[in-house]
Amino acid sequence: RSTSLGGLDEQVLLHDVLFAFQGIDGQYIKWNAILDRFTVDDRLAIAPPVHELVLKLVDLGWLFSKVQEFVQQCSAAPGSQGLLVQAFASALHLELTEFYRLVALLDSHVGHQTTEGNSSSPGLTLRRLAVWTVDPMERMRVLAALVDMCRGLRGGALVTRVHALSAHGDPLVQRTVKKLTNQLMVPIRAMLHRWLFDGELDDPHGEFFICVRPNVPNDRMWHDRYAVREAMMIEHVIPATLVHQILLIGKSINFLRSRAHDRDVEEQIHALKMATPVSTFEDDAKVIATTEALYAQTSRRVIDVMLQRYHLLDHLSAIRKFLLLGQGDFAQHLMFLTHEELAKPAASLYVHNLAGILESAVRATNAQYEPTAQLNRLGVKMLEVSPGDVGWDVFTLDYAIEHPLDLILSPAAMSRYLQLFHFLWRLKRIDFSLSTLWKELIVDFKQFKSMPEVMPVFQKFRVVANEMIHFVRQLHYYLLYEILECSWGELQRAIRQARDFDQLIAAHDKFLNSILAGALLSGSSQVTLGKLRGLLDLVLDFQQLHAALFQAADDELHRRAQSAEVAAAHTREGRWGTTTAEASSEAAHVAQFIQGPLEGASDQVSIIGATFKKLVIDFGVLLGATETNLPLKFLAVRIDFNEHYRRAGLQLYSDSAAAASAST
Amino acid sequence: RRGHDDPDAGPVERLLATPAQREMALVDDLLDVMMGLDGRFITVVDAGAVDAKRYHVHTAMDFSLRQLADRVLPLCANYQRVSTFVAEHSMNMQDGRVLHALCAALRRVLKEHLMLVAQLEHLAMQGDLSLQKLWFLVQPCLRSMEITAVLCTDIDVQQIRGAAVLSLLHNRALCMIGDSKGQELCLFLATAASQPYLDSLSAWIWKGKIDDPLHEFLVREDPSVVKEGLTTTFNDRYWETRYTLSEADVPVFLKSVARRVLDAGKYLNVLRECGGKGPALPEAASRPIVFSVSERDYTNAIDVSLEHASLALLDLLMNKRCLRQRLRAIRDVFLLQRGELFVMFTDSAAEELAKNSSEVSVSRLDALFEIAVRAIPGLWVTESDDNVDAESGNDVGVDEQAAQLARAGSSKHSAMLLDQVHCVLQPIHVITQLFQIIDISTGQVNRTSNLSGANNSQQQLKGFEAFAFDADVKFPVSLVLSRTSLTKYQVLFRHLFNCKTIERSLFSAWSALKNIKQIAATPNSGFTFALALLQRMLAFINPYQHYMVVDVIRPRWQQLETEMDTARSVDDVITAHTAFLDGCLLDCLLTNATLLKILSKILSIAGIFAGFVVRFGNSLHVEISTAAATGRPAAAPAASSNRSVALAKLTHSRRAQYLSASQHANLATQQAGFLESLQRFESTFTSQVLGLMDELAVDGMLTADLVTLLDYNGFYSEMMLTLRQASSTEA
Repeated sequence: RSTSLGGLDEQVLLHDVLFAFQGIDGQYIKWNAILDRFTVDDRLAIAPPVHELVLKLVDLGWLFSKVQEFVQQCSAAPGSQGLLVQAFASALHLELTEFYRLVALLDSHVGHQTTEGNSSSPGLTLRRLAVWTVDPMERMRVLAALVDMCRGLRGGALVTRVHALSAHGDPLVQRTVKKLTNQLMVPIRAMLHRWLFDGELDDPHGEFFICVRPNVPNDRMWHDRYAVREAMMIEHVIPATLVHQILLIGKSINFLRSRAHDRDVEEQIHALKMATPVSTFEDDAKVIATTEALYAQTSRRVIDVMLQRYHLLDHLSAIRKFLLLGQGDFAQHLMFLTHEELAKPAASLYVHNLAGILESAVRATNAQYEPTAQLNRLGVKMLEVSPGDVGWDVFTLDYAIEHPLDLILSPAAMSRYLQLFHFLWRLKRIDFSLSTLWKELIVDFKQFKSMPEVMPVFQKFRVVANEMIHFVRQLHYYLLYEILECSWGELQRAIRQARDFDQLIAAHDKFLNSILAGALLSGSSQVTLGKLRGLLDLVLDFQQLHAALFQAADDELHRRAQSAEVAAAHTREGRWGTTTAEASSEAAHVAQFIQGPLEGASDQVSIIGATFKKLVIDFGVLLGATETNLPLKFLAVRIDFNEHYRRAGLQLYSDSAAAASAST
Repeated sequence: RRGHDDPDAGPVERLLATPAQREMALVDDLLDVMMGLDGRFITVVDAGAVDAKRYHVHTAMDFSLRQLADRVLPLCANYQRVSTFVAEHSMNMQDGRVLHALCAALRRVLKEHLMLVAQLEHLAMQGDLSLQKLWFLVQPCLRSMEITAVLCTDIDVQQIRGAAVLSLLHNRALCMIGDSKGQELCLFLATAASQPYLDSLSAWIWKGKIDDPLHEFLVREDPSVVKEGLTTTFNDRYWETRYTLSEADVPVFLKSVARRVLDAGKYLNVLRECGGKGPALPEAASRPIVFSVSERDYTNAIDVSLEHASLALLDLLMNKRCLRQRLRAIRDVFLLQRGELFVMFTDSAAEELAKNSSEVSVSRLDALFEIAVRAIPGLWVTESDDNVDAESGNDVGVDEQAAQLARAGSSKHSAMLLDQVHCVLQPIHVITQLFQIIDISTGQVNRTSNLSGANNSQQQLKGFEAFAFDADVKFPVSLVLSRTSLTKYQVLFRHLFNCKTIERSLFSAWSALKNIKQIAATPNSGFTFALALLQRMLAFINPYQHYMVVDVIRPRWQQLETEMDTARSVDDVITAHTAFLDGCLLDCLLTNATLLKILSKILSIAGIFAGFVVRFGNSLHVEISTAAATGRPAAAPAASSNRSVALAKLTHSRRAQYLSASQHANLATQQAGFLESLQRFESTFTSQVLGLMDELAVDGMLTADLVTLLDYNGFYSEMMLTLRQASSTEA
């Protein structure tokens, strides 16, 4: 070989090559930054094959320096790119250490020959070195490729990228990648362990797939405090479904810590933690099993705390009874007590007065047997007063909620409840006033017996009132039974079956939404709700009309009684009971009454009746056409149980169609 | 040769004066070239060539040395070839795992080659390597490197990857039977290269998972085909197309078992989709599958897996999901095997069904059907877990709760099947639907559109005609009770229902005629004729129904049950079930377009005729009663003390009524139009029945029964005979 080496000792060249393997310049082999490779000294006259071989060999050095550069960058600024990059670097460093060991071994062979000078011993030659470096070269190539691929990546994305290479079919690549992934997972596993058992995030560089947002208000704590960081997910190792459970576990533990101070659970979790050191997480199946066990345990516990310590179900029940008027006698009595007060202008009302009334309504009814814990939260609230408002517009009951119940009964949800209360209270009021009206109508018939001319008009009132009562009763029944009670039953079932807090929240949201949708308060039924409002307003108009007529008839009755009395007095005095002038003025009065208030009321009641009917028809059509909600469709059927409105509607529409065709 | 003192190439002859020096230099150079380097005396001239032509040996060398070197050079060229191949393919992800693994194996071959070179060098350093010796020592290497290089070239030329590479390796290994060294090499390469593939295989056959990141495996998943399609579309291909065999990716040594591989994984997949842990894996699952030349090694594992998977799935379907009970319930409803249920239902629903289909309320029909089901105690009691897994959906819970249900043996679950079965109204007539199905199955789609289009626009269906049952079937039961099968059930039901409806109307026609028969029983009147025709129609429709229910459906069902007993896999069940349905359709004469046309004509004639008679009878009845009312005063008061006198009077007065009425009736029946239309009905009916007989005569065995039933007294055959004679005499 000496000839081909140009007189240079092969061992010297070998020394240089071994240095070059580690990226170090030798005597003859030097790093050329411009060409980005090692070059052999030009002055060295070695034969082309040797030159070629040397260049081939020192490729390993080129790969090595790439990897080493990366490792050095990381160690120069430890932790600046995160724990995972750090772990990656240290894993690479381990690989490099392996490589150093090999180089040292090779070097000893070189040294051995030079000192001994014994040519018969199996020393190292360049060709032998080629055999030796086949596998290390390949491994280094994989590492260099990984370094190239993962430059700039961090956190879970890094693991994902490294793991992607395990799809490679080469067993050597697979082994290397597996080893690296395992190393990379070490910080993740530690974080996971801490999160699962302590509910804490040890994640200074934001690499974990769960993140914390510290500035979240208390009532959104459960929803928004912790979130999954999509970019850091490691799909192959920890699938998305598991991530969700993991998130829930940590959240639950945090919740239990802050709220429950439950020693039992703490002990249990601690025991499990002791039984499950971080190292067991190297087995993916163990991670899944532990997660599932913890998930079941902590989720159940959170639900128990909510239900037992914070009496969630009792509060929901109280809200149903008071805000949703589920306690009938209470609602009725409250209406009875407040209806006069609320008719006053809003500005003249005082919360404390109303609170007193509320108090007495509670005392007087079965509501007093509710637990005081719930009763204490019940209060009166006045909405913002705008000019012209009366008490009805601003009055609402209120139910105080504090943390952590507000995780479920959030302020948004509570305002929805108040909205529902407002709606139901309005309906109740109309129901109440219709009952009063009905009573008055019965009285009317007796009272005005002496005035036969008012009877037909009052009869008209009765017919319309009957129609209205039917409508309002059906609506009431529908809301209280079909919507509130059914949804309540469903909520109770859902709460029983809930497996974690998220499902509990979802169950309550579903409950609230189904009620809102049933009460036409969801955004999609604006038009129908408008029609309903119109209907209810009409009832109030109707009531006022009746009151006016009643007043007029009553005045007339009094007047007649007086004139009759006058006549009787005259008769007693032995005169004619009435003079012609008196008789004619009496007749004029009667005519005035009949033509004035009576006929006016008669016309108006006809108009109201017709309008009401038309609105009911439109309402029914809207319900039938737009609502996909089955109970709402049934409501339409129930209101029109004898197809009265359908026939009337057909008539109405055929008439209008005929009118339209006639006009065109 | 170049020297350090003279960098320019000096005359070689001067440097290597002696032949021994020349030989040593050449050997040294050969070692370099064997490592893929450019030598000093041996230089590359044609980089594309793969044999000795690639190199040129310096002419200064002795002729004999050059000749010998030329023989060694192909080895170098082959080495070069293989190492290029490895460099090209080892890091490119697109090449697939098989090629990666092959490259890894090739690298070992190359490494061994380098070791040989190192050993040779050692000999050379000791001065113990002549060219002759080198030639001798590289002999084994020469052959194996050649085989390897040819392999690489073939792969590159054919541009193959994955299974094709494995097939190539397998075939090479088989071809090398005579050359044990060569075979060993091929086996080594094949074993290494097939490892990723076989790993995928074992993941698939033991776990039902496709672990195939680079798309090389023989099973392909089409994620766009979802199992929900099974319950919605006729002819859905979920079971056939969700997982498919990619023929190009089947290595030759798996050709014979590819189908079984696919099935095994498919079954496991269904199990996985349904949740549940499934039974423990057999012990064979823990053994890795390794490459071997004999196919038996694979087939064993695959057979064990297939058996395991298919039995597990069968158990799931049959025992946990109560497939058999479900099928029975479906049969009871759709194939009218529960007479009492059906009669109860149709009696109560008759009024609803008589409306136009657009006015029929499906929910009312559902309610009536539910009432009918509930009226029969113990109907379809199952311990199904269907609504359990609909609610919770987690695998642990399902099995547990199913077990609880099974223990409870609760009867309350009879409602389950009821939820499953509900009423629907179809937009098209059953005959049209049947034609559509025939078209779909025979692949002629043009006529379908014509038919359905024409019928849709023509008329609105009556409730009776539009009515059908349907069922909601959940996965995995929908594998068997797919939309396809359900449609077939539905068609059978609608056909049977159609026959039943026509029978009913024939009956009512019969009773309408009976009412007036007493009055108008003069021998030659149209009544007798009409009655006779009605009778003949009944004599057609009754045996035909009997034939369908007793001769076709019942035995075929029995057969299906036995086949379900002996089924070894879900595919067996599916096949048996499909065969059952297709057989029923076939034997009920619903699959042959010609037969179906005749049959539909006969049925519609019968229906029209019944309607005609009923209408006629009704109008006659009205006429008679008005005539009777005007003709005579009302019957004598029944308050008479002597009953017999009263009765006699009554009969007398009735008789008088009848007399006047019968005149009417006879008048009516003797109207030319009535008789004429009766004859038209008769002739069309007879000709169609004869046509049917004709067609049936050529058909198979079972239909012969039908012919016998229809023509039990030789009426039609006689008629046919006379017709033939008539036509022959005419001719």
